[in-house]
Amino acid sequence: MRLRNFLVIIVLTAILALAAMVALPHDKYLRYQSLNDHTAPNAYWIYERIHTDPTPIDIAFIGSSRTGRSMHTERLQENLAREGIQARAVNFHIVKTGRDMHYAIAKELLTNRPVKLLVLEMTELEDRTPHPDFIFIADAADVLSAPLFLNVGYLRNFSRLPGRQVDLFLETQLESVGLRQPDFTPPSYQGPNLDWTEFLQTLDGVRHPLTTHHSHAEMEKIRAEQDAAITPPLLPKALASLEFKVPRYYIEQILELAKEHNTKVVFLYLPRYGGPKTPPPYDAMYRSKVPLMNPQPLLQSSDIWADGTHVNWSGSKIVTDFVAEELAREKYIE
Amino acid sequence: MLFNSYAFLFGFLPLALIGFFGLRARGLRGPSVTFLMVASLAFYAYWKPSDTWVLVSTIVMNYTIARYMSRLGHGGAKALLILGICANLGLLVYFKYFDFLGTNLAALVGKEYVARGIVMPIGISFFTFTQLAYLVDCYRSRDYEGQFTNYALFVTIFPHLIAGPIIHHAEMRPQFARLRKTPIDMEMIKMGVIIFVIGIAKKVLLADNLVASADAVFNAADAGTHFNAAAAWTGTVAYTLQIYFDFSGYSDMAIGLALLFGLRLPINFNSPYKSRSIIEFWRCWHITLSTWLRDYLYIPLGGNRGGEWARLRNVFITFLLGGIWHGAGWTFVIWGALHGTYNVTNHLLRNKFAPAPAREGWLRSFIKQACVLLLVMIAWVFFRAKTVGGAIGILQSMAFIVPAEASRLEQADFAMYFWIVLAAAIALFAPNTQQITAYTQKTTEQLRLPRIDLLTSLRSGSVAFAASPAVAVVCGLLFAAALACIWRPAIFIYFNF
Repeated sequence: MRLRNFLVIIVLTAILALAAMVALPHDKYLRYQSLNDHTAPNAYWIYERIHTDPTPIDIAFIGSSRTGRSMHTERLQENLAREGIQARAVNFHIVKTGRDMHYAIAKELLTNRPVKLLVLEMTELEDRTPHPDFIFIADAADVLSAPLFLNVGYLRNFSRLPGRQVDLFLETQLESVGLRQPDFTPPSYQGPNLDWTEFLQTLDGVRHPLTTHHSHAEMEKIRAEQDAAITPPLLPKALASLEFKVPRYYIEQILELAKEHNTKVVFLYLPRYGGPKTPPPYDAMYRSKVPLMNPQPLLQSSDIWADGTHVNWSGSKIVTDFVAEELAREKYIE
Repeated sequence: MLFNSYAFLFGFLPLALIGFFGLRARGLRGPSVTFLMVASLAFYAYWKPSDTWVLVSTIVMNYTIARYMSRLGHGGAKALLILGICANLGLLVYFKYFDFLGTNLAALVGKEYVARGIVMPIGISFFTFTQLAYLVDCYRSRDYEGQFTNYALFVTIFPHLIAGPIIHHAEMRPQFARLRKTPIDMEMIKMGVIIFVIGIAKKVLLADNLVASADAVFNAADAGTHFNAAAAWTGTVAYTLQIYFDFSGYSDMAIGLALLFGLRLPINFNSPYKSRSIIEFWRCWHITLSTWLRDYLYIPLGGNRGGEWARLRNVFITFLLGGIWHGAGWTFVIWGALHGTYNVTNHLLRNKFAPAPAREGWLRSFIKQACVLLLVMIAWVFFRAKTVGGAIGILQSMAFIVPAEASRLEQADFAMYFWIVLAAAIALFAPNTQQITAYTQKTTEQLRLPRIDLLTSLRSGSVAFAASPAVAVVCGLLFAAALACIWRPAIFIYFNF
């Protein structure tokens, strides 16, 4: 057999086999369980809330840990009820940044549940890089169809996809015959509202209070450190569409998805301590398209910050109350 | 970069092949050899560029010493040889054993030693042994490598650079000369692809799926956990299989990669767990190290020249030093001492009893094989454990000497036992890579894949097969399965040595 033919058969077989692996079915709940970050566990709960809890989801918050630490949804519901608005709110944050993850959550939510209002986190600077845990949650089709150009996470996620699919397929089969020994077992369902604003409960059951606060001098020091660590936009404004291609692509995808499902979208600006008055990415792209709720003027005191990017329990009450007022006043939800 | 990484498979290797064969296609065979040397240095520098100076300076030093040695008389050459050996071993001792020696010497005189945290350049044990052998061979033959590029390539050729197989200049020199003059046989490339795929499958599909079982037991035992007997046996069996498939998989990949560039490396494993004596085991396990230790340590120590007791002493010392070569720690010393004791005992028994018949009954053969495996596994416990206490704890559990509060293995599940059983079945019953491919390192024999295709081979019950479409499909499937799994970070065990 000629070497060339021999190699061609190997390559084609490998490609077909990898494609077959990617197509393997699995239990999506096991996929969500595979993202079991012990420092802020909630991926399994997001799946449970969407698929197993029939409680309505009127307002959905999607964002990073900033959203997680800011929105106390039970308090929000109570505030709205006082305004005569009966709405159920849910905090679907996932720690770490990356718009692809927000898209994956929004897609899972909107394709399975009717949602009246989607509140999407907006920060002072879009993360150019995709979410490091996107591969854990995303559908195979979304991993494959992610933007390739200028997406530093594409090859990493693409290369991990066949292995992920095989692992999840085998776990699903073993689970079905009772032979699976899970690395992680989710706790019993934690109810329709899982907020990490007053405390964070890790998987060992320990509650970590989120009441830390700092002096003004300490917060200023933290801010200076963050200023030094942040990479501002590298390219001129005219080329921002290249630099921020990936996050913008996913925001557009979310907006389209919401439109398809008749879900209203509002941005919620959650700045870091001392962040700009309005979010530059919003000013650049979405001012004319999507409304923005901006609590930035209320977040100036150093007392309400747990660290440079997250408000503490007191800060979350301020943000939550502000959002409830805005939702009622602007009639984003009725 | 690891052979089982995307950077290597889709970055370095294609570029190296394109560069190498691109030059050869233009008739530039000599420059293609130089290119391979430069690519190999780049491969090494990828790990930690700052360590490359150690490799390059030893190459320059040893090349220069060998060159001058050939011009000097007996006394001068011997002095230069001793200088070269001291310089090479000095570097090895400094990087590998300085802190270990410092800690133990300080403890001996009742003082405290603050470890310097010296980080060993990767592969130093292997390239030091390769070059030591070269110096000794040059001294013996008074023949040295005239072309610096050839010498540098001999040391650095990337398939063997990090973890062997340990090669000899005499094996490689004619191959380099041929590489400069004649085209590469396409049959070598086909065989190289098959052997590489077998190697990556062994590493990624078998060894890496056994890591969790072994680590769960050994890491916890080192931290003071006592396991029940089942857990201790599971961990030990898993590690016994893991290290075999990890290292033999690496060696297969190295041989396969070398074949892609028209070079043959020596075989390093020959189904060691099928051995029926410890002596046989060491003829089949890490063959190039065993051969090196025999040629450059055991024989210079006196070999069997001073009578039976001197021979046994030399055998023991050779294995003890072989153990220390693997790492700076008492567990490696014990591992070496255990194998030294096993081998000495094996020699004594062999002297006392009549040699076994060539064809033994299955029961006798099975008992012998089981005994060898048991002894090897006991030694692996010391090899894998980070602490002597952890190793003893596991051995006690294996011997059913377990405290009442002994833990069971929480991670034990179907998948864990599936991989252990599959790996054991392959290690104990399946043909090895060279039996499947008919690979031989003997350059006097032309490499030819067997002419039996896979289906015929399966029907006839024989093991070897040709590069047929069915074999290509199997290779493609194995490669795809390996690709699907290599995102998990898993370094080769022998990279630590």
